[in-house]
Amino acid sequence: MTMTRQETALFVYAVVTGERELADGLTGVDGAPLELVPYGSVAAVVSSMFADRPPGRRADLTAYSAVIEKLAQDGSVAPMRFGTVVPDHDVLVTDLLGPRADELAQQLAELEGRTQYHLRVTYVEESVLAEIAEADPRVRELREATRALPEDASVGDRIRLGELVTRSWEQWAQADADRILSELVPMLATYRVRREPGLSTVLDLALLVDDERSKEVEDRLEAMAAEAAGRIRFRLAGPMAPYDFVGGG
Amino acid sequence: MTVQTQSRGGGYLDRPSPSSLADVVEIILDKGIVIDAYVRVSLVGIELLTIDARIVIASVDTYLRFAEATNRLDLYQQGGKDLGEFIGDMQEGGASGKVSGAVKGAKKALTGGDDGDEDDDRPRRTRKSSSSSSRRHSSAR
Repeated sequence: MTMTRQETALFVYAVVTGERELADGLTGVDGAPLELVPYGSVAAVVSSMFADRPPGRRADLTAYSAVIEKLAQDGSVAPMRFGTVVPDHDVLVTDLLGPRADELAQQLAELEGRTQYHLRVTYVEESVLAEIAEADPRVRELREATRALPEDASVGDRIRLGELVTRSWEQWAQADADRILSELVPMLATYRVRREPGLSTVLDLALLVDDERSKEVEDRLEAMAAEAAGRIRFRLAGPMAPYDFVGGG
Repeated sequence: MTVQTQSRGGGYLDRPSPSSLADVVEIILDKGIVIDAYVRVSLVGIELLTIDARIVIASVDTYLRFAEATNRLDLYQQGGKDLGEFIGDMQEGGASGKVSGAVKGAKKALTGGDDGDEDDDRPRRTRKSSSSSSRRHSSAR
């Protein structure tokens, strides 16, 4: 009988400050216990996994995000990209902690006392289309001209109609995005644009907010959402770990 | 993700509940610190969740979709309608219902239909492509 030995590797969740300690009993992917690997003023949070089993299942993703949110509750955390697996502790030190410890320590210091939100602002299609039709006589005319006709008989006019509508939509989205952003920016530590204003979204932003201003930001967004109800939808996820503000993209 | 549960406040601001897989995928999947050689993801399950990122909409199709949506509107400010318009409404409503139903069905299939997504009636959007760390999404515009 031969023993087959499965090679193990390390799933890397995040980097935290060196003085952090992990609560007992924390587990990660595959239920494996979490381990701290300290180096200088930072420490990596890892767990052991079989090397021939690359992560990618739903359970892996939710385990990963659960670990990071747990870490975020007790202090500053710099998440690693999901699926970061290194062969062993030596590689972790030579390829991540060794060369980047200072940079990571600085990032963690900047993230201290701050939290991320994800804001998505979208139009309520019916009401914005109605506004566009009302504002642009050419849209109304083309609408009247194409509505009653079979599609085949009016493709050219329909394309022109759609072109006018989408152009207005994009302009309006940009204008609303600018307006909303200018109201928010003074309350934010910083932000990242995840998607430019356009047909799909008005705003798609990651916000970094000082903890003591979280409520102010949430309340302001609630008020803006109430004011724009029926025309613009505001969706705010978080607070969450600062995924968008580490690693330089 | 285990985002802290929030009360919904006044209710106009949509605060998604924690642990929605669609949110997790969209928000965090291609974020975080990268050590280039060591992101190893076999996206068996996740691949399916993010394919709709790659549904590229040709601009003509986009125009036609917006034209159709505009024509579907009831613009009450235009005054009363005659019977012909009503019949047109009904026919168009039926046809567009089928189309958007098919789109919704495709999205449900791709996302597993368990994301509680209430945004089906928005314009089609791209979602971050995430099958590998090197792949970046592109806008559908």
